[in-house]
Amino acid sequence: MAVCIAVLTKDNSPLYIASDPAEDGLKMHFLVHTSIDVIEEKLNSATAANDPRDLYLGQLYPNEDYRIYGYVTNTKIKIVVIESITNPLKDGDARQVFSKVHSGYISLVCNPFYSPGDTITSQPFLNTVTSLMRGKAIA
Amino acid sequence: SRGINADYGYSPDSLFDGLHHQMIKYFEETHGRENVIQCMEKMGYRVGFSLIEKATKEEARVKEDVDIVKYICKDLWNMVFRKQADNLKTNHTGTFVIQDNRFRFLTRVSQSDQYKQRGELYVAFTCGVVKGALSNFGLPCSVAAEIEMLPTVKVTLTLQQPAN
Repeated sequence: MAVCIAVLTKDNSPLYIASDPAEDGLKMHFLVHTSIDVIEEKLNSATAANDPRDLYLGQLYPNEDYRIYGYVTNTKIKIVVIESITNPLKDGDARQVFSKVHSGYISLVCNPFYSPGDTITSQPFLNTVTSLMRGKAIA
Repeated sequence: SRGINADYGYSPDSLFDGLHHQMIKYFEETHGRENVIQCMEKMGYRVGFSLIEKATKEEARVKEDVDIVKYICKDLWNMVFRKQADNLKTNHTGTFVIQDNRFRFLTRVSQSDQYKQRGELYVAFTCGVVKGALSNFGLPCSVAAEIEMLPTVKVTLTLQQPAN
């Protein structure tokens, strides 16, 4: 189960951050913030040898209590998913979580009432993320 | 099944062609001829932006500026016009020229100079689409259209940052 899901613009401003109420919200924000540097490093330092072109960046850096995963779209939107070691996502689920958040974001951009760059307040998007964090199947 | 529209001889293409033409007429009547291009471009921008958001989800990461412009010429052009652009030129310092030899919105216009100026109005929406698409890729640019001989259209993009 994800304890935090965050969506950031290419300039690293947060469009949306949600964390499980059982977790320390400030700590989650901090972890997301720290992961930005790691993401940028991964994007810039890909050599010819290890340049997978995958949008999914995998685990970003080690931490005692959490696993932090990153994903960057072709449109430079960064998505960060944090899982708790004590309550991990199912195998391979990190990619699925990112795929669903990404799809939710695409739907949002295609919504004519949404202006790209605005903070996300759209109910369908919020529902998608809430379901993902609770580990329930998306309707 | 081709759907009910095909049975009547209409396709989504001719529906959009009609709408596109009416959009130009509408802006001309309400905002004046001198503002048509700006209005059409603005609309195209948001469309291009959304198209790219949707289309690039399953694509591998597109990295270099040149690859992004090539994506526009092949994949985006295919999505919008069902054909690829016919030619791409660059000066390797951030300016690219995309050429379409049978620009969809001008294929039914006779090849006479008197229509060239009016023809510019028919490229404005497409310029906006290109601008919005590139912007969403992280490459803001200015876009200008040139019609030397109908129905060939050249779209010049100038990237606002130094090329990679």
